[in-house]
Amino acid sequence: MSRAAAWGVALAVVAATLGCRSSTAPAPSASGVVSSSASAARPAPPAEAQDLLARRLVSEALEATRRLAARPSEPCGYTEEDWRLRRAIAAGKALWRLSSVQGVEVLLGPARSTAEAGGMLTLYDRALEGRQCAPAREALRDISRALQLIEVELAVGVPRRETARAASLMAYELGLVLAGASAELASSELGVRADALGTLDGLEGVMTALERSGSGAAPARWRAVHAQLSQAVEAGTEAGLRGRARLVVQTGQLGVAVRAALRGAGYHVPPPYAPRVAAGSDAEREPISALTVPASKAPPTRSQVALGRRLFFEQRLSGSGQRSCASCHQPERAFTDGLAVPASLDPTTPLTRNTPTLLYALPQAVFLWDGGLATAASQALRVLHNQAEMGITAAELEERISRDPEYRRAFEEAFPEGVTTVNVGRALSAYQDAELVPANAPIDHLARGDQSALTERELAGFDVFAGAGRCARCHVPPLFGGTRPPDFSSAVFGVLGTPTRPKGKQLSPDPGRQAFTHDALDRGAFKTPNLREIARTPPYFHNGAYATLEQVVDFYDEGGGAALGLPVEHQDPDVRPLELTPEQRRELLAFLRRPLSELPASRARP
Amino acid sequence: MASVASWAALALVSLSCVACSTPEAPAPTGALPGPEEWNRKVVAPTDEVARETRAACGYRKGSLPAETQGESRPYGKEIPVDHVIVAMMENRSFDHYFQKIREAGVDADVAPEGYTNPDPNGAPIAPFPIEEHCFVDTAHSWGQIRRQVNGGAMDGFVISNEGEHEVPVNGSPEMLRGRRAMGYYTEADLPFTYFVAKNFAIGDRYFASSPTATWPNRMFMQAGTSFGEITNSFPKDVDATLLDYLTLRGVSWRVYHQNTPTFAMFIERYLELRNLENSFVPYEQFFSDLEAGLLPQMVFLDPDGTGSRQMAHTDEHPPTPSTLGQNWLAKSVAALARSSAWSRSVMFINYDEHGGLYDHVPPPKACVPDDRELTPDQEAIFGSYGVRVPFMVISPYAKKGYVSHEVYDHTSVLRFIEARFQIPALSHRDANALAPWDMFDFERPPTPEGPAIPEVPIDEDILTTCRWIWGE
Repeated sequence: MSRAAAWGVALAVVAATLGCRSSTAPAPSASGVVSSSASAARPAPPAEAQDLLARRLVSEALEATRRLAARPSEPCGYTEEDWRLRRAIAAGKALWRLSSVQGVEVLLGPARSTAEAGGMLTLYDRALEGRQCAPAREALRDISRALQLIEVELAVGVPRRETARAASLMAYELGLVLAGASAELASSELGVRADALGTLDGLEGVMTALERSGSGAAPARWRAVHAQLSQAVEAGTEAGLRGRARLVVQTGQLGVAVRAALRGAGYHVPPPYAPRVAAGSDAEREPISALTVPASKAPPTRSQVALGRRLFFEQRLSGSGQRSCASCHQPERAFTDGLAVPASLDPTTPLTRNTPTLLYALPQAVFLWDGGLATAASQALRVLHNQAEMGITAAELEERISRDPEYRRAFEEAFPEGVTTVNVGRALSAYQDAELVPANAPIDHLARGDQSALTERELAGFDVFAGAGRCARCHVPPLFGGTRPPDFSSAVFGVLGTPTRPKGKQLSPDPGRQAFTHDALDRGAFKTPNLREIARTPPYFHNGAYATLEQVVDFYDEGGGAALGLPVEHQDPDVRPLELTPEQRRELLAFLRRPLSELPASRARP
Repeated sequence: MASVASWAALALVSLSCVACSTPEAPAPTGALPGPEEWNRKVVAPTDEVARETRAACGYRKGSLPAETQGESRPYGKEIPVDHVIVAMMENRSFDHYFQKIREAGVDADVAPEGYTNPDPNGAPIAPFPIEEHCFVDTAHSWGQIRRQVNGGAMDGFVISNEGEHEVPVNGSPEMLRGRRAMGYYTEADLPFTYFVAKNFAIGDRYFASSPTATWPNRMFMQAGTSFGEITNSFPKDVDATLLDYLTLRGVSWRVYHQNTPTFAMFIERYLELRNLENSFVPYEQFFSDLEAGLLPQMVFLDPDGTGSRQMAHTDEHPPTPSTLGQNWLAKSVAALARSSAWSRSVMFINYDEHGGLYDHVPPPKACVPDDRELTPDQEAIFGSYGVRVPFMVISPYAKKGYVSHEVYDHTSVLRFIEARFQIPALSHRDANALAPWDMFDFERPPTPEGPAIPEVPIDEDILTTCRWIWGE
């Protein structure tokens, strides 16, 4: 060791021991020269209104955790203080996400994917609800640590432009919370109320902060909509909010007003997505809410759609020449076959899963009951090549199509590569994209502002769907299935414990997603199917074991497979005894039937 | 091999304790600062005995490097470097970065001809040069990595990534196809990485420390264990990290970071240590410290992996394009090579885990890091290394164009640091780790002037495209 280096070691001891007592002594270095220029204090970015807001919300949440930690650890259960904690976190999270990654990830889980675990707030919620005091205490400790980390991470400042975008998304998120469908929702109705109030707090805070920094802001219509929504949410009780569907639609109006105010302050923020069917002629005034069906992400051309429609009914797409896509996805049965499971073409391999509807399939995040494929095009090809389903090889398929000059022309018109297997998948996907996402059910008319589209009874049914029935926690609008807006790219799976027949004593042997992921938690997990057209697509569940919607509602009301005494590992915690009243059951069924069924095409453009 | 402190060190140890008025007793005469047992007399085992004992996981937490590396290995000041720099990047596998390195004349083990993974329809997918520069992040949780490794078949990379993660704002669902995990980059995409491989040393049996996500692997780098954590969560009951031991030993250290330092996952330790003067500092200070000759003995360079814009990150974590990290690393190394610290420095560049990208080498068994009771999942995770990741050693003493085939993981780097500064093992894992000795030639006298490091400009075309796809 050189002499200089030795000095370095020695001086570093001074630094280490002095530093730990917050001394102001200059730091030494390895070369023995004492540094005076370098400083640990980072240049403090100017504290703007949104920074101050973000930090204040962290402090509020931290204060709540401190008060909660100070109370006796047993017995445990939700208190007013817990609602304050949830409310502060709901208010701050959209803002925090803009500067904090690590802290927010621990607190809430990763923003969209589920690959790296986290989500202490959810663990805390479940532990408290289950009165598991020790796990609740541990989760609370981690919430507090995560908040401390967020506090540190916020030092870099919250970017103002992205704050404006967050405000628009908060209006949309509020709709998801009110629909009982947001990803981080509390397990009880009072918790949901706290989440909704927190989201409203956060939105108000952000808008006030941004308006202060802008100039010539328009008269704040958003404040009026915000006040109406706040009043409605405040009125919520343990039994849940009433009139939720209309409130969700109103969050679309809130978004419009928020973006208008932001434009006034100089921020041009686009809506979360464009609607499949516009409500009016002014794009800036489109009320995009959690009930709005999204437009196509990449609209196909007319020739692709026409080709896809033709292929869909083409029997030459099967090895035997006797099946087309429409054999199982029959248009008159809402693109299903009415069977528990379809007949197999391969006597050695029976088919074991129910044919799902293709209506609203295209915008899904994943395809097949186990979520094993990412696109409608690859789903179509999987079925074509499967010996038990359509039973045709890629080579055979291309050869058959190429032999037909009309098809050759149609393919060449639709795709630069002409006839290829991949283009068969693309054309079928184009057809579904253009024609099988109609957005013409009563619920869609409600979403576009037709206040009378649903009856009062159906609206009450939506309240059960979003509240006491816990349905929307997995059947997420606007598709009412396992695809989360506003990105439509992350999927929801659930373990229900479905038996082999209604109230049966035998659990379905299908491993579901586990066969695909090899994860024990996924045993018996399936993608949550879309409930669009549910009245016209019996029988139900992955194995088609349930013939009527009444049976299905009973199954959930009683608490899923575990309540039937079946050996279900890791049943979804939201599948639990619901104790619905007979009236709630009737309302729920009323909502499931007409509002989610397409109207005749003549009403497509009222 | 016994440690002998210079007179200067001694004098100042006592001085420092007076200044600080801490109750700690001064170190015994003739010893380096730190607990007494750290300065115990040791008899180094033969290389043979040391190797066998390590292979049997026979060493325990607390063992000094002199007790585990073998008698021929240098120790303390015999290692002729005074500055150790670690830059841990994110989420790239060895094959994904080095598939074409043999064409550059570096003889590393990459996926052989005929290596494929089945897609969800059973069709074989071979490694291919990927043209996308900001492909959708691939899956790397414990469950997904288990599918990828598939009992050693290394054939689950495509299916485990099918449909994973979100479609970018202006992307298509096609971007979620699992085949993207079989993509590799070439010298054109990775000018800095290839430059290092040709001019310094790399390891082709360097594995992530555990087959799971970021935080546990980074904890292994900074503490030799993840304290039982197998996901990205705060560890409990953290007794010590490398930074604590360096502090105890009186070794100067500094974390230069662009955003939240990754050490923050040890939240209580971080909130305490960041109060130390000049401990966690902005990345820009790395350059001024180098110029002023103020580089501390131990340096962590933390790239930006947490800023709100992914397309500005420098940690190379997909979907962020590599060009940003390549530029960042090249800038950092160039400044080091120009500085007075160069002739007595070593910089390690490693990647926390493979991120879900393909690699053909099955991870070997590893030593369980601590004595806690383990669930079956924990046992599987802590008893095995993760998938191979790129590992580079940059130093005037690094062998040029050399490829090490020794099994290493993050704790091998840790063990090197411990050997240089005479610090005991933080866990059973680093206790049984071999430091990457074979990648150095300490006999070679260093040139005072560092080599010219090529400039690696950010590819603005890539960045523009990627920003659009991801809506930034």
